[in-house]
Amino acid sequence: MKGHIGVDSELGQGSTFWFTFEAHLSREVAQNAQAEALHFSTEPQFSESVPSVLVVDDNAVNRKVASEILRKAGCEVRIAQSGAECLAMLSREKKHFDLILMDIQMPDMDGVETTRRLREKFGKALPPIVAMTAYSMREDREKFLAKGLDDYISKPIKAQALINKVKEHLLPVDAVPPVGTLKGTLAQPGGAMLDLGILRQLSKYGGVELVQESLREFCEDSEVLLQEAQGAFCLHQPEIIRQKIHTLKGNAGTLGVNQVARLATAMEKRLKEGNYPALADDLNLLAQHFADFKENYIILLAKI
Amino acid sequence: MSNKKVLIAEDSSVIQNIAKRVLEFQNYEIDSAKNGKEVLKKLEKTTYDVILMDINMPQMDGMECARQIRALGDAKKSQIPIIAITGNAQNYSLEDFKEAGINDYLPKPIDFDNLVTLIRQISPE
Repeated sequence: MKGHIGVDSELGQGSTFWFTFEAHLSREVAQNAQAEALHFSTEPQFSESVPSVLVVDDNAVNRKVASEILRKAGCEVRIAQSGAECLAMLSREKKHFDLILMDIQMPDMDGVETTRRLREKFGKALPPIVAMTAYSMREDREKFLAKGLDDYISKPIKAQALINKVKEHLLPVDAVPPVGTLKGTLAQPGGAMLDLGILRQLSKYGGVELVQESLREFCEDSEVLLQEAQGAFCLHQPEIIRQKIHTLKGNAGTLGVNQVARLATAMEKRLKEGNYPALADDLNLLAQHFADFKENYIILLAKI
Repeated sequence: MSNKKVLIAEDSSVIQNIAKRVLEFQNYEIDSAKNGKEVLKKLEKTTYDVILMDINMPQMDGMECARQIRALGDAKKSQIPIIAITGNAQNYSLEDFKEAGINDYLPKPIDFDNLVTLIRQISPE
């Protein structure tokens, strides 16, 4: 079954026993996913626009599931059945997509190779490319993150997870969640996600404009820092990872982005200590905290 | 009367820009550097009223840079007040900073009220 087995152990903390093996997605799982998609709520979820999504997958069932979910949520969906078709479509049509959902495990040209060619050809003119990947060994995830994809979502695809992922990558105005869906603690000053007290202090010295600009710059900078940290992880460069995390920690702390700052602080400490088996998971968690912040901060700013 | 000149040495551009805007709002004239070497290069050509210096910078860190500033031949430049910004407050004590020639320090995350107060107090006249 081409598997591995091992243990990650930290003295005083605990041990994780893990094993992996390769297998094919069973028909049954695919059918369940399809059933879930068809029973998914039909409420449109994009307030102001109709996002345009390109789904690239060689498997008909997967294409159907992803398309159904997105159409019901209010997206316009186009499909490509292979990497080659995707390339041809983008070259020929010059159509503007808001997001590309890219299956990784395709025969002939896989998702990573397709993305590489897209980047080569179109450079910065591409929308975000989100990988769809069956749960696999950790190394595979880091590999495609470092290879030019912007994000990933695990199969089997869960409906709300897919929609949230699309929202995350749209421009802020479309990613604003409906009123009342944020947890109460997030909106408090000194709350976990964003410390409004710090931002109020900053606004004294430069107005709300300074706060908005600083947070925008923070978001741009953090994307790069996270990518660089993930790249350094693939190249086994813990000192570079530590530097990037250190900078992210400083930036987040200055602007009261507390959840990100706290995790970055803990990660920097563990990176200094040396043995860090949970590093890959923590990098993913850090990316998740940052994504949550990015999705919600504009609403929170209204409370300054 | 011209505005006071502050040099901000910080390798994070996010923090650079925030500190710059906050201090510009207080009518300081701001210049920036990304590491200790750049600070020394700038000092070859011009002088400042205060230097705000991150300790943890690549190429040359804040401590080493402060020592080299204090060792400069130019009497005025070697005495420029230096405020350290430190992200790992427990690494150095105030004594360690003073030994390197640093006048005072601000821990991160930066309290902007403290920053403004300290700069005001420490720059001459």
